[in-house]
Amino acid sequence: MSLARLLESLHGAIGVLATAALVHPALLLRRGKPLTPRSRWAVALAGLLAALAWSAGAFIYGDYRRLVKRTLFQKSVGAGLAFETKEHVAVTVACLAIGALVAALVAPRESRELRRAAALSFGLAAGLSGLVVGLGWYVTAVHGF
Amino acid sequence: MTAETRENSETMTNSEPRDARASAVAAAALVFGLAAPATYTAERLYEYLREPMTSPVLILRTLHTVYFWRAGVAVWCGLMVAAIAYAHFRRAPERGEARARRLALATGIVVPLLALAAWVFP
Repeated sequence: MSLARLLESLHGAIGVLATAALVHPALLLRRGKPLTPRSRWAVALAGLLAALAWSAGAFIYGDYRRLVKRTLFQKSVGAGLAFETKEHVAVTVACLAIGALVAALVAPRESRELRRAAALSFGLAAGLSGLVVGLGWYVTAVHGF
Repeated sequence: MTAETRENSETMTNSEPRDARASAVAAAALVFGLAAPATYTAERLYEYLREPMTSPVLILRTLHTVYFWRAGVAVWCGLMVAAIAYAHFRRAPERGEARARRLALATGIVVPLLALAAWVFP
């Protein structure tokens, strides 16, 4: 197994973890109650996993362009375009998760609506992260490293 | 005024500005979460309209830095919009809860549209 293949697998695994982790703060914050110290850690972990998944993808992106992209488009134009969609949606997921993370951690105790808004951002980030993971699986099944 | 009442009133006056600042920072963070992907999509749409897509199979090689530049510019614009929003929110701290509701509504409308744009213009 090449290093690029290993990193690709790691990126996928972190993506799945981030998707699952992002659902948790969406549920925790949906009623707008103040966070306990333990739930603050859970929220922070979810945001950081989303950022880590994006960073891992960015790390292997150069190799993807060099080694995979051309053959991927030759095998299936649809799969190649699915990867392009995946990279655009991934930016949205990372930005939403980081914004919601800061909002959830900083919001004052009595600001229920701010925490609810953060919950919505986390929920949308989780849904879109699931889409990113699904597209990633599809693309890798067609052609990977 | 008893000692306890004085202490409570001092705590309130100290914590209120801190809460108003925290509330403005939290709302500005939500604005960042919305503005950065919106900028990214605007950049992508501009590229799409400027140069209609050629067949990807014919392209031998492209720069991978374009994506990072696009993402970097989007984050920078998102931070600028968040900073402006923070300054605006600090001027009217009493409207915090209504503002958060409007932000949630905007997020619920704009984010699915951004995802749709990513799907339609890959």
